[in-house]
Amino acid sequence: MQPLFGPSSKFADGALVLAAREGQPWAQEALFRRYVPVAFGQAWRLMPHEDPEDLAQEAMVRALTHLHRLEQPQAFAAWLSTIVVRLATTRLRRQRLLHRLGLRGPDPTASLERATAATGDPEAAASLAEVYRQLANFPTEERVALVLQRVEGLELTEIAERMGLSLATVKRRLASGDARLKEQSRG
Amino acid sequence: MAEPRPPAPPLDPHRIDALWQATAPKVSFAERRRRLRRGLALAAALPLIAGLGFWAGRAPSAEGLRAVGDQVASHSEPSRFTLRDGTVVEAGPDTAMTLSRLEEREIGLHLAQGQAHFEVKKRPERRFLVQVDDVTVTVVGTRFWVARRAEEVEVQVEEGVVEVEHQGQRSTLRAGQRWARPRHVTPPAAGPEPELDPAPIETADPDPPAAEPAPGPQNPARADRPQPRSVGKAERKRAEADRLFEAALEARRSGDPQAALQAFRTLVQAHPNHPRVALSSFELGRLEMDVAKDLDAAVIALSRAVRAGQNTSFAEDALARLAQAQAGRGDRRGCQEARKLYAERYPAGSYAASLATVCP
Repeated sequence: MQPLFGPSSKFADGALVLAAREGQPWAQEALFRRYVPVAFGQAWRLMPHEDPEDLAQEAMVRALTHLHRLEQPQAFAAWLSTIVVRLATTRLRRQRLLHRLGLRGPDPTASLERATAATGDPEAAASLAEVYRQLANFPTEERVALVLQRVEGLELTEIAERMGLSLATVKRRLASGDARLKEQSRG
Repeated sequence: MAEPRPPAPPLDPHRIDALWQATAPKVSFAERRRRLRRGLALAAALPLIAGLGFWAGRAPSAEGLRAVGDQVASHSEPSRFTLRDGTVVEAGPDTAMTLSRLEEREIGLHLAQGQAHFEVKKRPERRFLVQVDDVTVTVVGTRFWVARRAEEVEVQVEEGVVEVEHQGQRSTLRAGQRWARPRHVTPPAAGPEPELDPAPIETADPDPPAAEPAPGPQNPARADRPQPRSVGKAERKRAEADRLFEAALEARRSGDPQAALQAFRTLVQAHPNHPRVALSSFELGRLEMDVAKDLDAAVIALSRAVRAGQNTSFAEDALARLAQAQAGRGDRRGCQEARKLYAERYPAGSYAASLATVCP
């Protein structure tokens, strides 16, 4: 029998958020179990070679410990997605900086191939690895905006919300990213 | 680029278990730390609070509502004020309230229009009442909100317990529960129609189910509870609005702007209080301009987006679009006003240069 108040409860997100805010562990766990796969999926698509599981876990910790800042409890999913995107942006920036300073550890390309191979289809994995290899050299905001638009399929306004940028800035980042992609495909 | 979305490798249930085992202590630790910090901040602020309390006692001037009959009305912007007893009221846009009772043991507010959130100071010796039409919400200490909309009255409890009384029937709501009933309907003399009966929506109930007696004729207390039909109506309405929003976004994604236009039009007209109405108005304005070529409709939608969507990611675009739409329909003054507002808010904005040439 399913526990009514357990992690597998059928409560709506808003109700779980309200209970989790009150410090109810069952509600925190229910939110975690419901959303960690979602956060993991998005983290993987944003940065497959950079330990998406760790990113998803960090995003969940942040979300569960800052629930009092969520104005609309029923909008937990979109809010969590915003946290994942911003954490990924920070990590990608740090990764680029370390790379530039020569402090980067092992070659990220190898882990990229391992990560994309986990999707199962070798052909898709190869083309995916190629896409992310191209994106690796893009400025962080351009890269994230492109992934959110073309891989996550988000609208411009949603991208702006997730990234914390104005719509005009997002358009500029996407235009610049598109131009860079075209340039790479010509070269 | 890869399209459609590449599947991420699945996260198996054992891994989720392990992740939760590692996460739970962090969440619990952060929670304890936050409470401790709040406690320390409170302790540090005690002398200040005591001083303010002394000052407030000398000059009991609650903002806006000081005596019975006093009214507050928020216009396009939400407003926040504190009552004499420390209760914090946040009134939504276009909300009107009157202080109807102010006694040692009872404070009453009448919500004439709009919606408000209440954070009531816990004082067992006095009751706090909010009256909307013929609905009375009674609390001792809690956080909840009340909305008086064109079609319904709604109460939602965030924390604590409130009692809602309507036509002699009482319902007790706990944290996470909401109650709604339609407005503008007169019940027949024989008794209220089942559709009009209010019913708490049990979105969350912190009490274990065993503590609640089962419904049925053997248990009148429980059987007295209103049936879930009218609540279903409010829920259905909200779900319909959410569906429209998703359908509109999906139509845009799949390249069907006409379908998106229709969905956004319906959403904005039929659900003006939906949380995404600002964004929907902005999207509608763009579609009215670019697809329907109806600049009058675009101006209406974009004006709403500018009003409701301040400090959003699309606010700058909405204002620039509004100036362009006003220029397009030949309203020079409207265009200049929008352009001026844009220049004030975004002096170095992306559209500053292009707007300089419209409606000079």
